[in-house]
Amino acid sequence: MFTKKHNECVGFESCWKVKRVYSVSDTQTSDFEVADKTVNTTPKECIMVQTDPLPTPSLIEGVDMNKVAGFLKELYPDMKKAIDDCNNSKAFVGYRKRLDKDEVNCKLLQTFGYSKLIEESGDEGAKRVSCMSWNQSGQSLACCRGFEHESWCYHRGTVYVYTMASNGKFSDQPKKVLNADNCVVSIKFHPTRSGLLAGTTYSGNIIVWNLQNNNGEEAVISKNVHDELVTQVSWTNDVDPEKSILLATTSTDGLLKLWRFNPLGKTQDDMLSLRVRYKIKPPLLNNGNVRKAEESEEYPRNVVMKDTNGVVCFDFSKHFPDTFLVGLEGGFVVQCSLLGATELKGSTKANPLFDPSFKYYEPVEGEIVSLAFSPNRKDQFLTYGTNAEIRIYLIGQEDPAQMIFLKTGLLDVTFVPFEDKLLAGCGANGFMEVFHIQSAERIATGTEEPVKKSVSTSISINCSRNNLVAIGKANGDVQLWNVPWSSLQNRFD
Amino acid sequence: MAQEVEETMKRIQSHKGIVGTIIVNAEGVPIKTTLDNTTTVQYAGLISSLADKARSVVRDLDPSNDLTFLRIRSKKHEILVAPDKEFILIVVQNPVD
Repeated sequence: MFTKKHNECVGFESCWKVKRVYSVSDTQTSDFEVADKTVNTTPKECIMVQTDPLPTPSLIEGVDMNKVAGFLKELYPDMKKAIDDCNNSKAFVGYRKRLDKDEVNCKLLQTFGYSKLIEESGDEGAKRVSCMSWNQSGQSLACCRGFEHESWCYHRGTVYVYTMASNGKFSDQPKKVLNADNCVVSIKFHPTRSGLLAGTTYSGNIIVWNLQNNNGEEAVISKNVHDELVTQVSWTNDVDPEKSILLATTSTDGLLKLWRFNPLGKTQDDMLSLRVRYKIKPPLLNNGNVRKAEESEEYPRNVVMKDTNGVVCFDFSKHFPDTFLVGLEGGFVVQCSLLGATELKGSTKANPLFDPSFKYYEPVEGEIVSLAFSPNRKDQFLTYGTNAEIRIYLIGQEDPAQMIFLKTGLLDVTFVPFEDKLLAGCGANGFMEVFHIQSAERIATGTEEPVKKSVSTSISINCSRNNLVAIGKANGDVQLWNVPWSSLQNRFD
Repeated sequence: MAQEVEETMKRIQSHKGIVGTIIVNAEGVPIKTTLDNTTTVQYAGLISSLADKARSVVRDLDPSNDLTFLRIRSKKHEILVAPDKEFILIVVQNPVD
């Protein structure tokens, strides 16, 4: 019980006061924040469109320009040679990196659209997505609601603009609903200003909407530019060295008009002024072979006798700025040149009228539905006609280089950017159809998605992310697909 | 002289399929460009470091050798890089078959 062992003293820190921390659950302890939903308290910024002009790069100053000039002068011949080599090189023709063949399934990312919106409003009219356009940034998609017309259009035109959220999905509710007096036939976003959208109507009007404007003042230009239905609108570069952007319109009145577009103009005439008019003559009359053609009965008499055929569609070459193709009523395909146009009777200084026809290709049997230059090969273009025939032409050859015969008709056909052997189209089959140009065969787009089959009326490939494909449906829905184009092509190769 | 630089840039830009031209200094800072701000800064930084690396590789393989030109072919573009002691000329081109 009693020992001599001493325990060593140990110390401990004494604390004379401890501050108690407590919280009462029934009181508000954190900072009180209020956000009034009825008013917009923060400055509003629309992420849908490019609101500011592109900033000029922050370049360093005080550089000895003599040295830079000397450097460029010394280097320019070598660089020119390298650029020419690149343009003329065939080293990479047909070269393609092989990817995993298993990853060939297309994936349905989302279905959205205005069908519900129309149903809710009690409108029982057609809901067909007649035309679509992605904007330059690939973030916004404009969809046109289209009707079938037997005679004059008495509908109200509507364009729905959807914007992609940060998670890569579209909202069911459109960001903007743009209205026009008549059905909108064709729409196209500006190639550099992603907030500008041009559209044409059944009554011959052209409308340019600025999506940055609010309160229903989006339409900055609404002008009657053609006597008849405006079949297509597109933005194109001018051949002038200034490289200003022009607006091109075609109509069933047989004219293709180029317009100077100045977004800073004060009046509508300042903003949109006529640069030149082109009248494209049908080939038979141009060659003076009317009687021969009448006798041959190759073409319907009304087509042969018609002085002017309406322009159904057109496309400007991305590689040769002065070259464009025109599809005329009656299935005629004409190559035109801006630089080689000849002046026609009725041309005045204020209202110039030219004939740009340069070369005629073998006509399509039926009416032309689609006409497009290849974005991959500078000498290739396609036509698709109502006879369910896709034709691939080479610029220097009058007869088609390849023909793809289809069992069921398509409503829209397009080249696939960066995949020079692929074509994509959509139609009565419901889903997108992909074709191999060289073999003229259909490529199976294997998908395990449970997709409801409905007629697809329009197809549009995202310009910045090519694997994103929007398919417009006859019921007003839009399907967003992820399509592995390279794998599809590799699978076939 | 600044005008001469502009003219040469324009001459390069007028070639078929040219998307943009950038001149950067040895530190990878852009001096002249025909592209927008974001793209220029991105290209200038990344391409100049790639050119440095490529030059190192060439010199490591053979100390008497040097990099004269660099071509990068991608699915969407072809990038031509001409390195020099003080500057690098970068040309971005759309390849067309």
